[in-house]
Amino acid sequence: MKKTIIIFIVILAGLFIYLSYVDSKGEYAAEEALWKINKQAMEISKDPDSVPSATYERIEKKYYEFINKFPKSKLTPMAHILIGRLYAVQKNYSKALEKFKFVVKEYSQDPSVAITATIELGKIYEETKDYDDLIGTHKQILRNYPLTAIGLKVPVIIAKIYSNRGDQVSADKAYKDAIAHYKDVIGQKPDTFAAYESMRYAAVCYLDLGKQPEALTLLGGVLIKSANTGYLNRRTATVLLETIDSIAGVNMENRNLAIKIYKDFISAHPKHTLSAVMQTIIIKLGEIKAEPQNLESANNRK
Amino acid sequence: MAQNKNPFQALKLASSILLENKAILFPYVVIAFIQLLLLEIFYFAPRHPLNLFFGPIIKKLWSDNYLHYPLNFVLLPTLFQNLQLPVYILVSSYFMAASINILVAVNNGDKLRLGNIYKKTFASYVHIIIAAAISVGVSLLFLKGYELILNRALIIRSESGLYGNIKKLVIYGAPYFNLLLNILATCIVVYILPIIVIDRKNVFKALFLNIKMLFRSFFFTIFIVLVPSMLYVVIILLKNSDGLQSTAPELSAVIMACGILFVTIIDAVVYTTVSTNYLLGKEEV
Repeated sequence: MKKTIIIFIVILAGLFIYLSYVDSKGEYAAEEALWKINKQAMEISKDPDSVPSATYERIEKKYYEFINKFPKSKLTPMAHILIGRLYAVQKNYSKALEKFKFVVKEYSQDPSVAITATIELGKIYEETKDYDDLIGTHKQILRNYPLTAIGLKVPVIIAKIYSNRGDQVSADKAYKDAIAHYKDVIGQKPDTFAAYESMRYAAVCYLDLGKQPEALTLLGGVLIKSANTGYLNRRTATVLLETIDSIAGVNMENRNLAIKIYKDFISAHPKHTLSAVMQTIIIKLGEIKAEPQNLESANNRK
Repeated sequence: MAQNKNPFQALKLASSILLENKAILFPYVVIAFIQLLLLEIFYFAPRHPLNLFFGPIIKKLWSDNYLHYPLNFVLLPTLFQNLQLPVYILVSSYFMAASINILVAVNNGDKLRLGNIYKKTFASYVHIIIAAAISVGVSLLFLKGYELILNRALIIRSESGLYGNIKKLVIYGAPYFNLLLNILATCIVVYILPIIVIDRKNVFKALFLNIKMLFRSFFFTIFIVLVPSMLYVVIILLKNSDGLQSTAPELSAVIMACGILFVTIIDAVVYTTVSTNYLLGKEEV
């Protein structure tokens, strides 16, 4: 039996060593290595000021060793970005900026990597209160990746940056430019994800400009036009309905505007699952409207 | 030798028989090897070259995310458990029955001819796999029953007071209750396999005799199964330590490997004890 146990152990150990070796430079091995380095980086980022510089250097070295070991891995660009973040945690903003700019240039063909690196650049500019460069990086995303999820959001973000700085003139101009941009997208790419997102962001711009009726019209349009597309899922529907209710009921104090949108939806898509939800909302809104009348008549009877 | 009425003495006797006659342990070594081999294959499933086979299956049945580190360790127990059931029914039960046959041969003082023993065991293979399926069925029934209680506890809104405490007990005690239910399920069917092998009865007669044996010595049987099974509490404690596994996700695979070894030891002790006691009981008669 001892001999058999030894044979079994040799088979198990041998298979383990062989399978580990065969994939030692593969993508899985890269994921494992990067995860472990990140774990250490996350530990030090909990209290960055108390960490000695030698620890940062050690982790930075591990990232570079990873890049040398896995030069063709899909995770290599991310490793560069993580080095940049490490510099940012140390408040070494010049090196962080240099690293992120390198990633944007080196991996410009990969939108997700380039956008991630550009966003990191934006964070540094925001931290260092370099608003001109902050807006510049956002415009870069808009120029290079206009129809990505983040690219579509950029015009609104730029306007909000001006607004947060108290520069209302620039903010209003930025909102108007954003609305014009979104109208372009809607016109050029109707009935697409980009069009629906553009309608939604244009509604945000109108709201921030105090133009609720225009915002409401656009949100109603998103709801009705995207009904039979993957865009209108449980999450987006909830956000849209809550926003419509908030604008009509609270901002404009006229729930009939929301009811009209829901009725338009029901007549356009009578068999849609949301139609039943909207029917319920219409009934409830009717009850809410009836309550003040009931209270009034009760007071009159007294 | 008289049949033991004291479960601790019965366990002690069985353990010494196992240590003196290592041939009885050999089938359990094979069971452990097969399970560890399967675990190792699933451990490497997301990696080349095994991902060529497992990749499409995991993507289709679960998600692409489970082919990446460290999420693959979340799926590993599910993958292993899904295959463990058919392996237990079709393979492990056969080797456990072979071990009982070796015990019988040792008890009778016969020369150990392993080839003949495995052939003799194979003659009852259909009954053995039906018995294993019954054993698995009883366990799953108990576990499903607990799942219903757990689902009911999850919808209790109280976080304190009597209902809150019941909720916490059911949720946090789930691994331990599952262990106890497994022990109870094992007790209910523990004599079937020894009766099939020793008395060469068919599975249905063995089931009837098993119930008779159980009624005759219920608490004795519970203790025989319960005491060695307490070894598994170590595995439950290790599995529940999130801190340990978040440090190195691979530890979950190591804990599973330890679990395989512990379960093999538990099964070896339990079935040897039950079979020894059954044999001694027959000799008395």
